[in-house]
Order: sequence, then structure tokens, then C-alpha cells
Amino acid sequence: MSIIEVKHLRKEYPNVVPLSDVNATVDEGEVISIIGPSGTGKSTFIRCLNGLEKPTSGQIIVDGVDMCAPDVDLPKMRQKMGMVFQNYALFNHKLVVENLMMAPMDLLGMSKQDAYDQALDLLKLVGLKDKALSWPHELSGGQRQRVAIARGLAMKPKILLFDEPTSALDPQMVSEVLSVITRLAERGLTMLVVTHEMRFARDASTRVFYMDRGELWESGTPKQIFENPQRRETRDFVFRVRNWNWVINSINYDYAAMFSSLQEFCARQFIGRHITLKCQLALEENTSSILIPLAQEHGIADPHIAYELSVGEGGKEADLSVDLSKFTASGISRDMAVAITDDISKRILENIVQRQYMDSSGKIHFIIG
Amino acid sequence: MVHISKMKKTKGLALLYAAMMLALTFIPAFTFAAEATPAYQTLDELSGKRFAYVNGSVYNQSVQEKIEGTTEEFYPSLSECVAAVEAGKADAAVQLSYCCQLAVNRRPGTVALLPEPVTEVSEGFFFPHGSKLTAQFNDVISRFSEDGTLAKLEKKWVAADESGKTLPEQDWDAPNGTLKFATSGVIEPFSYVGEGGQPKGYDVELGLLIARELGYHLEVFTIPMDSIFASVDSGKADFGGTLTKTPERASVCEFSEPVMPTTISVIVKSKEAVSSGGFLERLADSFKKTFIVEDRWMLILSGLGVTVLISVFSGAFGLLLGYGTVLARRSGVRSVGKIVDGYQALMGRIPIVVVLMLLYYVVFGALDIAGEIVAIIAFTLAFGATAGATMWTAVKGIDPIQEETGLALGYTRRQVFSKIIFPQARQQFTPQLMGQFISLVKDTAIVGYIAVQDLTRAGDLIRARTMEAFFPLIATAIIYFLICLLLGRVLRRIAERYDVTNRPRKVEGVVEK
Repeated sequence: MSIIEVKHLRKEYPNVVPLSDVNATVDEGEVISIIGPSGTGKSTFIRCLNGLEKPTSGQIIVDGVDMCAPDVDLPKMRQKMGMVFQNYALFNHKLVVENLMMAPMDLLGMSKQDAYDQALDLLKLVGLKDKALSWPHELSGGQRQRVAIARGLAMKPKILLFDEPTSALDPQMVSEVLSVITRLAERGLTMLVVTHEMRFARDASTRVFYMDRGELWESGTPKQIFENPQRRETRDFVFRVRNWNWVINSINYDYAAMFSSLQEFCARQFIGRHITLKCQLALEENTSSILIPLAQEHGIADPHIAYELSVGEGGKEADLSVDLSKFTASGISRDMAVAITDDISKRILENIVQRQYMDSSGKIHFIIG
Repeated sequence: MVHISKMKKTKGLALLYAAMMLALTFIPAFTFAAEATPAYQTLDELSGKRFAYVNGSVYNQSVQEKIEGTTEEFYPSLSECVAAVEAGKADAAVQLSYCCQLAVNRRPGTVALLPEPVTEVSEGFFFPHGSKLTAQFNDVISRFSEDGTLAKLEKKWVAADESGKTLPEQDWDAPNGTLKFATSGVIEPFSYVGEGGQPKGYDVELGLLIARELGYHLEVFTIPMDSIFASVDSGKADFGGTLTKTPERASVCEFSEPVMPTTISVIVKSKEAVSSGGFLERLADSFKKTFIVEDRWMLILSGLGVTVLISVFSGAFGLLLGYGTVLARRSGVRSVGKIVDGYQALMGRIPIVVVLMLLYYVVFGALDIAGEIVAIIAFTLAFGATAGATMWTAVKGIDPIQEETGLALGYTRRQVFSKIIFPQARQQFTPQLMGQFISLVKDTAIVGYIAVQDLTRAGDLIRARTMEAFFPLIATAIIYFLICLLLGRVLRRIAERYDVTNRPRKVEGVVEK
């Protein structure tokens, strides 16, 4: 039985039309991941569902109630739909546990004791029971977001909406929040999650919506969307999010930006710390020790070093490729390029290996730290 | 308006008073020094000099007719004029001769009277145009002139003997009701503030005697010189006086016949400063004159009470008004927001003293409303504007996502404001509001303009009597400082109490399972 029904939803602003025509149904207990490029109406869609944005036209029926009817009791309907925002927004004037007690007491008429007991249970669920008496500002971003999720749950909603719940978090805090959401999914709550975390979309959701340019282009099981996308836009997007690209156009390139971008990508792809570090090392050696000096030597102002990193299944292997066409065009031969690659490998090895020695039996030991 | 309510003396104040009295018993009585010779002898010598006049005085016209090329400066009362002469900021101070004589007596050795008076003047009461009182007063004045009452009064009030200077009780029948009499209160011996803050003097007694003849009671209140005409013109007072009649003044108000022909004189610096006792003795004498004589500390205490009263009420109502403007802005109704904008812009751009006088003399001109209430209204408006703007800034500063979060939980917009937005904004604006409130306390020092006797005005009235600036000003300064300091402490305490980051980390009223 469908709990949310969206028909010809359209939302327009004076200059843009974030939603042109969206049709969707969500059944009770489904976990929907909404993916797609930035700025294509995903957040607007989810905000329309609980009336934070007023649709220009179309129909949204939640639990049998038309959300766009003029006499709809919005506060009442919103109580059925918890929402977790990108910027957690805990109430800073209340203790963590009180953040969870406020709404049930004010809006559901729950007694203080009941609200308190429930709050502690929920905090336990998100793994933060020991932070009950902390102030919000004392928590990390990931902890705050987990409290925000628990706060949404405190209203006992039928539906929980997530608007990019991990986008504002540091990469290392993303997984703690996602694991909480994944656990909720197992409890049978209907959830709609706008996310850029493809791993989450693939592993935790029952269905995936691909949204682009104000429309819902494709919906299907994670397997369908990620392995056998029907539409070209979906295919391109799925490929793009699995690959990291970076082009160095100047000898004075932005070293820090490149690394933070790489780290972010690796974190999102759940590439382990170890492989991430190695990727970083390979990139660093390759760029600053070999390619940039080489470019300087040959007077190439725009070396156009194009890196691409793609991730194998399960994030166990990473394939870093570099396009050196600009160099070969400047008279660097293929043999020389191979020599360079050897050199790169050696340098990387030197960096990984702390020391080496031969033992009495003639074995060579590489001490890697 | 000048009656002193029996104020509850706090223990501390009583102790302070006892300590003062004790100290004074050990200080030898003060003796007046011989009269000093003036630095100038004739009016001609004063040509081109700087003259100090009392605000609203017209003697500058008489002086300019007699002496060439003088420049003019205006001060609130003769005591400031004398202080200006003493300090060399002015060369001469001009006032009625009797007043000048008194002032010179009070400041022995530093200033002296020029032997030659400037000119003769005649002072009269004045009434709103068309008042039937003018003719009635004139009748009585001419009768008093003939039967020697005026001469007797003059003798009584200019005498050196202070003990006889009392006013008759108003024990007569007043079939015609009560008249309101506005007088400056700073022109001894004509109009000044005596024991218990009561206005007295030649003008006051004459006013009383005339009122008795005409079957009225009299309510006397003091008001700064430059506001007297406004108060009579606007109907706040039935008559005022006494002042010199000039054509310009006569066009605003009707003058009675002159009540006393007299002269105006010039006070100048004395030739050489004549020592009058040691420093400590002078200090003690000054202290005694400022606080002890005629129980003048009561005047300061009652002034302090008025200052506190106006501050506290304006502060409380201003907070409510400010909160109201925030709610009005949040209503989202465009016109309401515009009204708030207009109100805040108006209050931000018009000096509060002007607002105060506009309210008193124009807006409430026709209403019989106490100056204290007008002052509370004016400062409520002023504080409401700044407090409202401060609160709104803080409210706007709360991340909009907080509001959306509240809405998404199912709160209504109003609940979101009262439970989520405002409590967080309050954390931000409280320290700022406290500073603004203390500024408000200091700003109330201008209420003297509308005949309210606050702390500052009490100091003014005392200075008009003692002709000394030092103690009344220092005392006023210290009291303002202390009260603001105390207020700051108390407010900080309260703020700390409500500061959520200071509260204990526990949830009241629940038990751990």
C-alpha cells in the first residue's frame, strides 16, 4: 500500500524550475535513496513532501491526506514525517536529551518521564546514550547528526525524510551516521534519503530514484540502477560517481585542493584508509617529484596532467591512471615514458619501505611502516 | 509635583547620613570672609566682554543697549553663570540685583558685585492669551501695591534672616479650585527650592496671596527657565512667573502689571582671591550646604527615587514594546513591518530630549498628565525602539534551519518562535540589552525639562541655592555611577541565572530507570 503518492509535481521560482514534473509512489516500509547531480531538485522534492516548500502545481498525498489542500493541518502532518537536514540544527539552548524530549512533550502531550525514557532509548539506538547530558556544541558533527535523527524518531513518525544527511560532515564521520540510518532501515520505517553516498544507496535502500533536471528519470532496485541503468543520464551519473578525475593545468597547481578532493572521493567510496593513503602517495610522488620537474625541464607551461581514479568492487583495489599526451606531444618518447613509470614505482617503493636488509639465509627483508 | 513622598530609607542610607552628621560635629563652624573688591568698577569697562545669562533670560537685550560689543552665553541657572565667571569662562554674569547679591554672599572672595546696576526692570506674572486671570491678578496687585503688601513681601524675602522666610498655609477656602503655577525655582530669593524640596520665595508667596484673594488654591511646580513659557502656553500651567515683560514674550503670553520694580546687576570676578578658611573647612562647609542644610539630601534622595522609578518602568515597558515590534515584524505583514521601521527610524533620529518635550507640550499638551508619566512614555518609546532592534537582529541571526527544523517536527510558526528561536536569540541579545538599559538610566537625566524632579534636577536646584558646582555635581555623578554599577551587577546576576550554559547538566523532575 502506498504511503506517499506524488502526481505531476511542479515547483517553479521566478528564475528556475527545480521540479518540472515528478511522479512517484512510495510504499510503506520502503527505503528510497534519491540520487542525482547537485542542484537538480532532489532537496526541493523532499521539502515539498512535508510542506516546507509549496508546490506550484500537482498533488502530494501522504498517508491518504492531500498535502496541498488549503485546509490541511500541516503541523499535524509533519508530525507523521520526521525530517533530518544537512545541517543537523540541534536546539543549542537545550541539553541533548532535552532536544529529544521537547517535541513529544509539547506536541504529543507525552509526560516528562515518558519523554525522558524514550529519549534515552533513542540515544542508545544511535549510540549516544552517554551524551544525554551534553550540550549540542560539545558534540562532533557526526554525533550531532545522530542526535538529530533520534530527535526525528522521538515524534514516532511513519516516514523519515533525510535531506543529504552526511553532506556537511567530515568524511570520517559519514559512516557512523550512515550505519545508524541503515539500522533504521532494518526496523521497517519508511525512509526517503537524498544522498550522494552511492554505497549507501546501493546497499541500504530498497529502491533508488535517479533525479536530474527536475524530473525523476529512473527508479528501480539498486541492482537495476547501478548495474543496468536504462537511461543514458543514469549511466553517465553512475559512472561519474565511481570515478575521480583531476586535471593539473599549471606547474603551480593547487596541491591541497587536489588532495582534499581525492580524500573526499575515497571516503565516499568507502575506500579504506590504507588504500587511500597509497593513492595519495602515488599521486604525490608522481606529480611533485617527476611530472612537474619534467614539465619544467621541457618548458611545458600547461602540462595537462589528467588523473583518473576508479574503484574496483568493494573498494579493495584502486586504479589510478594518468594521461600524459601533452608530454608525448612535446617530444618525450614512449620509452622515456616507460622509464618514468619505472622511476615512479621505485620512488613509491622507497617511500613505503622504511628500511631493507638481507638476513643470513640470503632473504631480502623490506620493512614497511 | 514637588512634594516629597516619605521615602523608605534603606539601612545603608541611614548609616551614611549618620556618618555625615558625626563628621560635621568635629568641623569648626564656617565664617564668611570680608567682601572682595570687584575686578571692574564701571559698566563701560565691560565692553566687548563675555556675559553669562540664565537660559530664557532677556537681560542680554538690556545689557547690549548699555554696553558695547558684548558676547553672550547661556546657562541653566545663576549658579552656573557664577561658576563660569569664577572659572574665567565668562567675564560677567547678569541677574536681578537681589539674586546677584545673594550669589556674591554665597561665593565670598571669588566674585563681587559691580557697584553700578545695569538697568531697571519690572517682573510680572504671565498667563495664556485670553485668560481671565490677567485682569483679576492686576486688580489684586494694584491693591497690594497700595496697601504696602508688596513692600512688606520684598523686605521679608531679601532679608538676611532666613528664619522668617516661610509661606502661609493654604488653609483658606478655594471655591474656584486650584491654579497651577510654573516657576523656575532657581532665582533666589524670588523663586527657589527650600526645605523639603518645597518651592518658596517672593514670587511664590505673592502667588499664594493673590490666589487667596481670588479664592483659589495654588499648586506650585518648578520647571527650567526655558520651558516656563511652553508650559503656560500649552496649558500645563495656569500662569507662570515672574519674568521680565518683553514684546516677544508678550506675544506668547499676557503679562500682569509689574509686581516689583527692581534692577539687574552684574557679577564679576573679584580683584584678588580672598582666602576664606582652609581647604578642609571650605569642603566641609560646601558639603554641609549641599546635603545638610534644609535637609537637602532628601531632595537628592527623592530625585533618585524618581530616576529609579522612571528607569524601571520605562525599562520594563520598553522591553515589552520591543518584544511587540519583534512579533510585529515576524507577522510578515508588510504594512506592519513598515510601521515598525518608521517608529524605529523616528526614535533613532530624534534626540530623546526633543521627543520628551514634544510629548509633554504638544502631544499631551492639553491633557493634565504627570510629567513622570510622560517621561515613562517617552523613555518606553525610546528603549522599545532600541531594544526591539537589538532583539530583531538577534532573532534574524538564528540560523533559519532552526526554524525549519521546528516546523518539520510539527511545531506551528508561533511555537517555533517562542520555544526555539526566541530562547536562543535571548542568549545573544541579553548582554547588549543590559548595556542599553544602563544607558537609559543615564539618559533619564533630562526629564527636568518637563518639570520632573529627578536626580539631576535635584542637583540643579541645590546648586541654584548654594551657588556651588562641586558637591552637587560630584554627588550626582557618584550616585549615577553607583546606581549604574549596582544595576549592572544585578542585571548580570539575572542574566547568568537565565543563561542556559550555566545551568546544571541535569533534567529536573525525572527518575533514571
